[in-house]
Amino acid sequence: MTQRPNKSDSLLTACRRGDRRAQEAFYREHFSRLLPVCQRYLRTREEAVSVLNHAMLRIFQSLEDYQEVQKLEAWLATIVRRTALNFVRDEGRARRRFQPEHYDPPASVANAAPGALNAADILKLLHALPDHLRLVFSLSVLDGLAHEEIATELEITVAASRWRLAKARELLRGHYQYFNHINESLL
Amino acid sequence: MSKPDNNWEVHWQETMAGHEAGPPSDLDWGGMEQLLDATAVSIQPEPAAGSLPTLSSLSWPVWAIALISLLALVYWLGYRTAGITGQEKRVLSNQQVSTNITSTVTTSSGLTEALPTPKTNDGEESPIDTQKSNFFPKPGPAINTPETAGGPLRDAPPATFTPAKKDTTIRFLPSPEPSGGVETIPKEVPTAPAFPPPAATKQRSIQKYRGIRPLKILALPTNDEIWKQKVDEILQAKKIIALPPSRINNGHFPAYRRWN
Repeated sequence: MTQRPNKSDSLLTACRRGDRRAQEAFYREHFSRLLPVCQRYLRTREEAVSVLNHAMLRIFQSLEDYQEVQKLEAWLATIVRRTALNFVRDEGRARRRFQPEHYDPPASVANAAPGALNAADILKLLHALPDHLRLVFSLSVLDGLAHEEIATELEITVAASRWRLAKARELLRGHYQYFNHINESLL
Repeated sequence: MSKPDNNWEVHWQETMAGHEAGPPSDLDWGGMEQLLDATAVSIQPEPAAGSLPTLSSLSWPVWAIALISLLALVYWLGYRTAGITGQEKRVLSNQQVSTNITSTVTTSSGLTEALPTPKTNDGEESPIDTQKSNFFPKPGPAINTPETAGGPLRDAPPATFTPAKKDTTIRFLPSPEPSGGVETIPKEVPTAPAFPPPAATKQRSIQKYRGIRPLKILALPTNDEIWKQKVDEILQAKKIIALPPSRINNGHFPAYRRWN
């Protein structure tokens, strides 16, 4: 049985030829799903869009290497995540020693229930974490990577990855326990 | 793969997996378009493997190197051509002088002697005396024989240079102001030196200054010598005689000389 080429395949073929209109259509199609991947690692939307554009450029350049057997969404997300990690790693080298260890969650999320947060609130809580903790927490909890993979991605040791994940959980858990205690006392 | 150990982490994971941002604005796509324009080379289809690069695909350093090489080649060729032309002009001017001198000789009495111009084997006058000139040597081993030699080869040393025998047939022309009397015309007609003249000039300069000893180039006094001269001048001015140290200085006072 022969498969008829669908719209995505024809779009990919046009992008490989360098058709600008096809590239724009491809960009607009995958932008909404790839931007949150960048936003997990970067604080502002402008930074996330800039990194996503660079990742898209890498995608357009390496479309020849894309094999149809792979799932396109996972392949795109991997490229975007690695581009964002490279950006954060390069930026973090300069200010790694000056990152604060305290956790100051935004006030708008403070009274929300722990299990009833939407994506925007989760992003706000994540961005309140220090960079080195947020990266490990996002990679481990949201992306589901193992500590060995995280250590490879961030060029750190496995023990450091475990410690950072534990520290991030402790900060977030303490935040919820604090507000749960406040809510129970109020009741 | 690490699994979240809290319920809220599972909730966060599910929420973020289904999260979608808003559609991109025109500003977002504008930034992306600028990136694509800046790296348009990478978007263009790459040439097939094994094909030669086109001229438009060459980078600017290649063009710069090619241009510099071309300019250097042009300069070298021009310098080489100019050198050959200058040499030819020099030789031709020597021949012209030689021809003029051998053609007409003005004597001290005012008579102008016209010498016959050299002729070729066919009896026609040749514009350039090829027998006297070194610039057109005849091929073959007989060129250095005294019968046919018009001069030494270029590579021959100057000492072996022998002037060519000339036809000294003299024809008298009337002078505009004849002084009368019979002039003694020398048989040897002066001719301009053939190529190469610098060796003969050097030889004459050596003969001119023979027996004169050249001056020595004196070295400038060093600092030590200058200080020594100054100290000597001061000592002489104050009439101080510097005595040499005592020969007997064996550490005892008064010193004594041990004779045994």
